[in-house]
Parts: sequence; structure tokens; C-alpha cells
Amino acid sequence: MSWSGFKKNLNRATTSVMSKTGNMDRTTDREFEEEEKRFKNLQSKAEKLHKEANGYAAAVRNMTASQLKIASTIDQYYDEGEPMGIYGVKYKEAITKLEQQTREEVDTAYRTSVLEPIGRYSAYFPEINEAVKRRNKKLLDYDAARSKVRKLVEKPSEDSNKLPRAEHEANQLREMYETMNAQLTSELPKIIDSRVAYLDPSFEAVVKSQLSFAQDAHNTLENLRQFFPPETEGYELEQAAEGILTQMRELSICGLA
Amino acid sequence: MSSKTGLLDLAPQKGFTKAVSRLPHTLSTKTGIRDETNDYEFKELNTRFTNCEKTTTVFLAEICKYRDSVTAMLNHQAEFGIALAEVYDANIGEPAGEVTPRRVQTAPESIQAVDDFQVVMREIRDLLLPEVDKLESAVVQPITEMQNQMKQIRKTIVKRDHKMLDYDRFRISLKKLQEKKERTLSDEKQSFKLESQLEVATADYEGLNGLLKEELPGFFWLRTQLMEPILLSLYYIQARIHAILWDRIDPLSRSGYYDLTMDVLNGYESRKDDINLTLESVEIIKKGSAQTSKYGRPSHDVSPTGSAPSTPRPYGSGKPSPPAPPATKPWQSAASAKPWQTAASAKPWQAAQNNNQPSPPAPAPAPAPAPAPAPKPWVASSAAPAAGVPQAAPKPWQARKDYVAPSPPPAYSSPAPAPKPASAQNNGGSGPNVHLHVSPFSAGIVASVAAAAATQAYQHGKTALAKKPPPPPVPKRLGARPMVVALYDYDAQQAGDLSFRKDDRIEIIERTANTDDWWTGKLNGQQGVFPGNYVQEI
Repeated sequence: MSWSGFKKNLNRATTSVMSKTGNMDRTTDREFEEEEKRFKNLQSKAEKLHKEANGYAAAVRNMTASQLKIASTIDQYYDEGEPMGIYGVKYKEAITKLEQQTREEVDTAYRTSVLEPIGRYSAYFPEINEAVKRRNKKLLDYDAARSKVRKLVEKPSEDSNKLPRAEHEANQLREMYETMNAQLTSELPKIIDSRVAYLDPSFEAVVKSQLSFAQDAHNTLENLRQFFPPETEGYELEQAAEGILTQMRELSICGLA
Repeated sequence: MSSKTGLLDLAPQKGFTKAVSRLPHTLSTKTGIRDETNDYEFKELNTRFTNCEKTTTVFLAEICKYRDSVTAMLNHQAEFGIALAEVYDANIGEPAGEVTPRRVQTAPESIQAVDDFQVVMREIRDLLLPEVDKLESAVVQPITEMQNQMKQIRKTIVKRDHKMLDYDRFRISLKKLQEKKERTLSDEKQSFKLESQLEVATADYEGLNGLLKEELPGFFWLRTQLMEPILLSLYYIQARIHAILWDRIDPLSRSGYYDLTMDVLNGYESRKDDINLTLESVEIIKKGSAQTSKYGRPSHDVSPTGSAPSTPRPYGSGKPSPPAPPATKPWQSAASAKPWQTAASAKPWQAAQNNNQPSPPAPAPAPAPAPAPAPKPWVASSAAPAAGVPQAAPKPWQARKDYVAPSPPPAYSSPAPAPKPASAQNNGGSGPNVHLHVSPFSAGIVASVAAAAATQAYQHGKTALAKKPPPPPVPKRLGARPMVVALYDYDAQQAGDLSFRKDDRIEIIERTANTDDWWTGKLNGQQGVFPGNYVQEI
């Protein structure tokens, strides 16, 4: 940090402490404060959206990937003497195709239409936060200058030049602050109000992407149904599994140790 | 084989003693000094069993990963819906402010759509989580149970290996003793002891080895049998999960809010232009840090794109480059043919200040046959009128202030009301009287603009908000005003011109049917005139 930057920071720190303790004039702008609050709120929401959208993409990708891994692992439980039934083979084929489709969909369409735009939207916020910070700094400077003028008025200095100089400085700072403040007060609402227009296409893409995923997966699995035995109500499959496990437990090699 | 397992198995004292006594033999067989009993049939079975153990570990891990991914997917989509509904909410989920309570309302159909989405996503989550739990009892538990059995089998195999070691050990020791030429009494005793030990070890080893060889194939068979109910359960659960997803999302997508004629990517691309334009007009974003030094009104001399690389340029490379230089455009030739130069010192809007009679819509300025000599007629046209107009054109923000001023500064009022044929389409002077003539485009809006006596920020055809200094008027919401999109960059040539960058969205204050005319528009709170053929209607 440069020396002048350091001095500025120090002065500002003093001002902000003094204004908090009530020793300093303090300029407030309710309109700006409300906009800022709303903006901060939007920022956290937008970041959450990005996080959730990312999480969804990762989850879908993982889901189809482990589905595929499961199918090929089941395959390994079979061997030449005991080949997998027709539905097992078909299942593995279908799941492989589904995984590929889903990965492509998520990596291209979903990325382009949802992840990237929402990510870019969140990326705007730091810039705006910078502008807000600059505005706040100028505000502190202006308040400090104003207090200085007030003090000089209350207790005139021997140097008659001092007051006009201080006044001039205060005016300059006020102008700076006001332009920055005005810009932010007019533009923060613009940013806030543009959110729906910005996010809506991505929202549509989310819904359509989910639809396409649901449709693909549903069709793929339903097409397999013809190869599978009809689904039974109740716990027959679990009982079947339990029966086999009992036989397994009865093996002497399982009970010797 | 792997007596290491036995070595580590320190817990029972007996096991430990055994491991120690086996150690010398293990070492010597490993280094190849002594021979070792080999049973290839068993070895093959053992390899298969080891593979099966690995497969089962992977299988369990993947099943758990699958279950967790589905749960994560359900949670993320539900949370996304909730967050989006809050963002769409007119007050972003916060109570309305006191000072700036009036917000742009989100279109009711959007609110409805996002609400429905949120509800359906939560419903799906509540419906599917129990289904996902079924994986636990139908798949995870049986496999875990099988894994436990496999651990038992593994123990048996280890035991068999130990017994094999003993067998080899005693066998070799006995052989050595018997090969000894002169045997002492203790040797005899030892030999006898070894014989009985060998007998036991042989029985143990052969018993275990035989048992394993007999039963491992049975285990493999059962294991394969077990996969059938597992695979069926898995399939039925997956089918049900996706059936429910489909069952809920399909009707949701048919609400009419979503355009289903296009796929995800195309649908998004078709609306992308809107997106980029929404934030294009926000100067903070465009300027970024470059703005630090100039606290004044944003100057259009600075390229707005320069400092913010992240700013999306919607028509960027994808679009064809701008058509032939504007030099050939009629209005430009008109400029060079000077009906326009006469007006140079008094632009149409200045004329309008003085005589606010509604002139008929612009007859096109006398078209000049001679094409503009300069490739950039703008330069020429600004050079020519330089005599009449102070070239030190006020900075845009100064100009803006002037507009705000109730009475236009004398500098702008032309001494000789311009004979410019262009229509008095401009209300840039902003004296309220200017608005006595009403164009269909700006009807009531313009009046309110004038009433506000302030320039207005305008966003996306929905809002107009008053700029701040001096005291803040309450932001106004106005009806839709026509917007146009800039096709090219345009830099102000004179005071009163409106500068813009390509792709800026300009709000039309006043326009004529003729694109060769000067139109009045507003951008970023600044109002000014600009050539109509530099823009395109949206």
C-alpha cells in the first residue's frame, strides 16, 4: 500500500469510529441503504443458485456413472458357467447408453444454458461491491471534511484562508460522493430488477433439462421391462435373497473360524 | 500362503506362539530354500474368491454412491427451486423497503411458474426419498451380509494356509531327521514327536483344503444366484424412481410457460440476447475499476467494453460484421449534402424548443447524389458545423445537467430557428412545453418524464427510475416504451447527440417512421439524438 493510500485508510478508520461514537457528522442515504441491502440479499441468493445448480449437475453425473458401475460390477458376479440372464445383458446395455446421453446433456446443454450464465451473473457482484466500497469511502471522506468545516465555523482559525479551503475541499468531496451515490442508487435497482429477465432463460433450461433427463431415463428403463419378469408386490425378492444368504451361512467354510 | 495375516494376528496368545513357530519356515519357503506344497486347484479357487471380494467392495461402494447421488440430486433440485422462488419474488424474499418500496413486479406467470416448479421439486424429493431408502433393505443389506460371509470364508482360507505351513514344516523336519545317518536317542524321540505332529497337521490341512475345494464352488454358485433378486430389486427401484420423476416433471413442463418446441440449448440460445442486454446498460459493471479516477458522469468517450472483459457481447463473433460503413447511408449523404449542416448550430431538438408546433413527420432530407467523401462522414459533418457550434462540446454529463435545467441554456437555443426539415421529433430540451405534441410512442410517459424533470434510468422497458442529484424523487414505474438495439457504435459529434456502443439498448423517446432521420432516445439516463439507421427495433 502506498503511503497516501495508507494515510487515507487511517483517516477513514478514524472517521468511521468517530461517527459511530457520535463525534462526527454522518451522512445517511436511506434509499441507497435499502438498495444495498436488497442487492446483498440478491447476491447471496444468486450464489446459492449457482451452488445448487452445480450440485445438481454433479449429482446427476455421479448417479448415472455409479449406475453404470453397478451394472458392470453385477456382470462380474457371473461367469462362463453361469452367464447373466437376458435382462442383465439388456440392462447393462441400456444403462451404458443412458450414462453417455446424460453426460453429454449435462456437460453441454446444461453447462451452457444454466451453469455458465448463473456463474457469470454471480461474477458481476464483486465489481458492484467494489463500486459500493468506493462510494462508502468517499462518504467517509466527505463526512470528515464536513466536520472539519463545522469546527472551523464554530471556532474560527487565525488563518483566514483555512475555512474557504476546507469548504472547497468539502464541496469537492461532496460532489464526488454524490455522483457515485447517484450512480449506484440508480443502477443497483437496475441490476436487481433485471434478475428475472436474466435468469428466466436459465430457469427454462433447468426445467427442460430435467424433463429431458427424466424422459430419457424413464423410456430407457421402461423399454427394459419386457425382458424382466413381472414385478411382484411385497417382499418376495428380499425373501429370495434372504433364502440364498441362509444357504450361504450353512456352508461349513462360513462357520469354521 | 499368506502367513503374514497370521503374524499380525497377535490377539490370542496361542495364535501368537503359533505364528512365531511358523516364522522360520515361512521365511525359508519364501526365499525358496525349502519346497512348498502346491495345490493348483485351490489356488484357482482362491484367486476367484479374491476377485469376488474386490468386486463386492466396489459394488457396495457404488451402491452407496448411487444412493447418495440420487439423494443429492433431489435435494439440489428442491433447494434450487426454493432459491429461485426467492429470487423471483418482487422483494427478493425481504420485506419491502420504506423508502423505495416500489419495485418492478415480476410477471405473475413467472412467479406462478417458479412456484409450481418449487412445489413439484419438493414433492419429488418427499416422494422419492423413501424409494431411495428401499435400496438399503433390498440391495445394500443382502450384499453386506454376503460380505460378512465372505470374511468368514477368508478366515477359513487363512487357517487352511497356516495348516499347510505346519504340514510342510513337520514334513520337512521329519524328512531331515530320517535322512540323518547317525541318530541319537533324542533324535529318535524328536522323530516320533514330529511324526505325530505331522499326522495331525496333515489331517488338519487336508480337511480344510478339501472343504474349501468342495464348498467354494458352492459359494460361487450361491453368490451368482443372489445377484438375481438384487438386480431385479435394483431395476424395479430405479424404474420407479424415474417413473415418478417423469410423472411429475412432464405435467410441470406442459404448463405453457416453457417452450417445448426447442431443445434445451436452442431454447436458451434463442433467449440469450435478452439476457446479455439486461446487464449491458449497467455502467458499474461495464466500467468496473476503470471508473475510479473519473467520478463524473460516465463519459462515453471511454469504451465501455474496454475495462470489463467479462461483459458479454451478445452479437460478438457469431454475428456478421456490421454492414458497409455508414458512409453510404442516405442520411449520411444527406449530412454531407448539408441540409443538416444548416441545422448544425440548431439541431432538431433545439428547433423544437423554440417552435413546438408538431411538424409533420420528417420528409427525408434532400437526398444528395454525391456520396460522402470521407469514409466517416461523421467526422466531416462535425468539422463543418464546427464554425457554428462550440467544438468544445460539453461532456455528456454536463449536457445532461443542462437538460435538467428548467430553462435551456442560451448556448443551445439557436438564434435562428432551424429550417431543418427533420421533424420536431425531439423532446430532448425537456422544457415541459415540448411535450405538447405527443407521439404515439411516448404518450403518457413523456409527460411524466417531464413532470419528474429529471433524467430517468430505464431498464428493460419496464422501469424508469429517477437519478439522484439533486434530492431523490421517488422512482417511477412506467409502462413499456419501445426500445431499440444499437447496431454500431456511435460517438456524439455534438452536444445533444447520444453516444452509444453497439448492442446498447436505447429507449426511444421520439422517432419517425424514417430510419434516415434523427431520433431521440435515452440511454443510461442520458437523452439525445442519434441516427435512426444505427439502431434496430427489437
